[in-house]
Amino acid sequence: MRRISCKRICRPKVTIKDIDAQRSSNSGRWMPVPDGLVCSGCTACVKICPTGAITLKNDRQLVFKYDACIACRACVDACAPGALVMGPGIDGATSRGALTHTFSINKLSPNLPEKPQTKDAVIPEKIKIFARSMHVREVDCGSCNACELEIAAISNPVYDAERFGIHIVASPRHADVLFVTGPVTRQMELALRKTDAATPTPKLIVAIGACACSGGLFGNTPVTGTGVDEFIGVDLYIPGCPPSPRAILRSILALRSGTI
Amino acid sequence: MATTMHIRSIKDIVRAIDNKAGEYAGKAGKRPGEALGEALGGALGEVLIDIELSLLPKLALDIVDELHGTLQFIFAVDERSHNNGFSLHHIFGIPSKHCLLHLKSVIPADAPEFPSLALQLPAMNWHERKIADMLGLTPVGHPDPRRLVLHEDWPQGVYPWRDDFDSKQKVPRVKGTYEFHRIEGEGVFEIAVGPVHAGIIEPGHFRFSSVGEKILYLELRLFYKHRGIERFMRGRSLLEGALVAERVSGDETVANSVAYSQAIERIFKVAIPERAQRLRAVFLELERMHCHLADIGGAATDIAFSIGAAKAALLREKVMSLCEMVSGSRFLRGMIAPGGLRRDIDNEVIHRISSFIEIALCDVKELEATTFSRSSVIDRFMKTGVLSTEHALNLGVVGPVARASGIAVDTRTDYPYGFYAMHPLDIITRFDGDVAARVRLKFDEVRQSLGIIEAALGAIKSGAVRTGDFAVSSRGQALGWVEAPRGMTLCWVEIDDEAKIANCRLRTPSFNNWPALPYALHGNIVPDFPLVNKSFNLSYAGNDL
Repeated sequence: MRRISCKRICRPKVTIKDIDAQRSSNSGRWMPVPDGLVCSGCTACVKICPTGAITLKNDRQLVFKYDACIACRACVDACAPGALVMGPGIDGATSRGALTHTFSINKLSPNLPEKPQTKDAVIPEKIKIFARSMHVREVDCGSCNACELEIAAISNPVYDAERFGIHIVASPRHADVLFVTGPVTRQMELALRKTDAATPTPKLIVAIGACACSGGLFGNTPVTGTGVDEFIGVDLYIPGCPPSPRAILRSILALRSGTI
Repeated sequence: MATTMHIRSIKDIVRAIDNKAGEYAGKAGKRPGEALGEALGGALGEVLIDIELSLLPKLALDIVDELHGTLQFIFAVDERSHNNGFSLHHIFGIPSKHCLLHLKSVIPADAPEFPSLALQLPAMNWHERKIADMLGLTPVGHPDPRRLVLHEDWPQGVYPWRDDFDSKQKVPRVKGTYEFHRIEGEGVFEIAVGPVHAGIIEPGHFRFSSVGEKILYLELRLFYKHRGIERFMRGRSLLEGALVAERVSGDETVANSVAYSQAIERIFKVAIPERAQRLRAVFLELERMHCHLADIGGAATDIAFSIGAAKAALLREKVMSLCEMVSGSRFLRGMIAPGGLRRDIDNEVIHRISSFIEIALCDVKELEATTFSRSSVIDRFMKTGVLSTEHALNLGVVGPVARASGIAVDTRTDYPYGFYAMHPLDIITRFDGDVAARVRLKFDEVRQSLGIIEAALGAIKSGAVRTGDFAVSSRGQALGWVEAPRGMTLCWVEIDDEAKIANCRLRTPSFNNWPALPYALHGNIVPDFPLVNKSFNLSYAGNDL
């Protein structure tokens, strides 16, 4: 009988940075960013954005709300001078405000802020206690199931979230962290509240995907809400449609290490 | 576009279909399927016929009995503003004639009801209840008039698909409880599962009535994820419609957006360039591969066969990375639009897809050998969750679930479109109807998909990938159809004068296949439920819409 070498299944000593390095050409966090060319101020991107994630402020600043961006590329295709490109996008943040970026239209350069790498990052106590181990329960509140597939993929042999102590559990009673996806549909609201109540404190709530962060494309209708934070408090927002397994893992690791 | 001749009996319908098929067969002189596919860029096959509402029950039963048609889709549209009533649409698939028969009848506004056919044709059950929920049209004589899509806390008399429904309002919650079917008797107990499940899966409630370990009855209560997508489509631009279609169900991103785009292309009567047709087929098959591989891995996980699950996950990850390299999205989002593709891909990328085929064939072979060489796997897969051919036929089951129960249906062959009209396929079937048959079928289909990708890329020429000036506005309506990984997807779109979507109705294969799940589980043990459910591979998001 054929023997399967463990080495072929697992790749020991691979870290999230190595995975990033291997695939830097397609990092899977593609979102529209300015590429430094001159914006004509035509607001074609503002008009075409299906989720209203792009707005013009004071006629001279473009405001990108990445929590609502579904990475559909409509703005990139509509930009006549070609001042927008699909760039590396951004990782998660602890507030929706931190996912909003403002660019001056006169000098449309990509100035996404680099996070300072301090040695003594101040990590809130609530997050610190989960620094080595996180037991995660996932609650789907009306996503399209792409976010579920990507969350499931973080524990596959390539991303292997278990090596970071991130463990998916079967019950909210066992969980430290809730991953919530979807805009929260009217018919899932009660289930979300009950799952939240069943999770013992201290706990972290992570909103994954554009729908969960802001309602995304489907939010704010008679049968959907405007994201998870309309119903329960959220500690981490991970944007993307869907965010890739790398983006999810990197955002959680950044939260634990206090770099966001 | 509708046939104007007066329809009185099934003979008139056959004549109408034959007339239309003759028109296209005359053009190309090949067998009808190919001819249908070639005319207008492979987007023909829908035959729209207006009928009287009173004739519907007789005609529907005759179509099933005499033409061996299967009911695929029923929907209704509020046309009171310009037609003094609601239009009711029944779509039957008639594979022998390569035709999707579209019967349209009118329900007067002052008598909002229609004859139910759910007793004679069980496949109509959920479709009719959905229409009752969304439009307030009563299916007279329906054996199960409970709510389906909208749960009991939705107020009576508020119908989201009616024109006078205000889509900005917040609808108040009312008190109400859902009555489950009770199975009574000595030793019968109920197990309630969900909506939040133990795995990373979507929400839905399952109520088992069992004796000991054996399942006597399973009741499904779904639609927790109802996002109101069909109403949401109203008033959107054509591009936005494609973006919404992509996000109906994550692992059917390409299938749903192609079905939507083909409907639009049929309304505007445009044929898309050959390169776009070939690349669409490549994307559809890549999607089928990652969907089936997730499924194979999921079945292995559910029987605690870790090595199979890990290998399947690795192979699936390779496909996902390839998709990411091709389009920047692991789910191939942002590629499909009405008129073709939103952008071309490089020859370098095409070369990398081609070179992936050989690697994938080896991996699939190894994965299949690993999976089916273990007695523990065979023990759990064989004779588990058998769906009989009879049940599958009666319930209008589609896709791999139907093919594993011995029914040769495949949209790509029955109603060819796009590249599949140039490249005829064999329908792969298996006859056992159990989990093993469904998993083996998926292995076969992954290999078939690799063959299709090879064929589509083999003779690809450079050229445009998008066509069509959709600015010329014209009212119109048409159906689009695609073989999604889970089976036939149908999308019907109506366009208003300003080239915006007036109405859209979508039926993903999951909506047809969910009601068959309880029949496959009857007499199985409760611990086998996750395995059987996984082998059916049903989308909750695509079902709940």
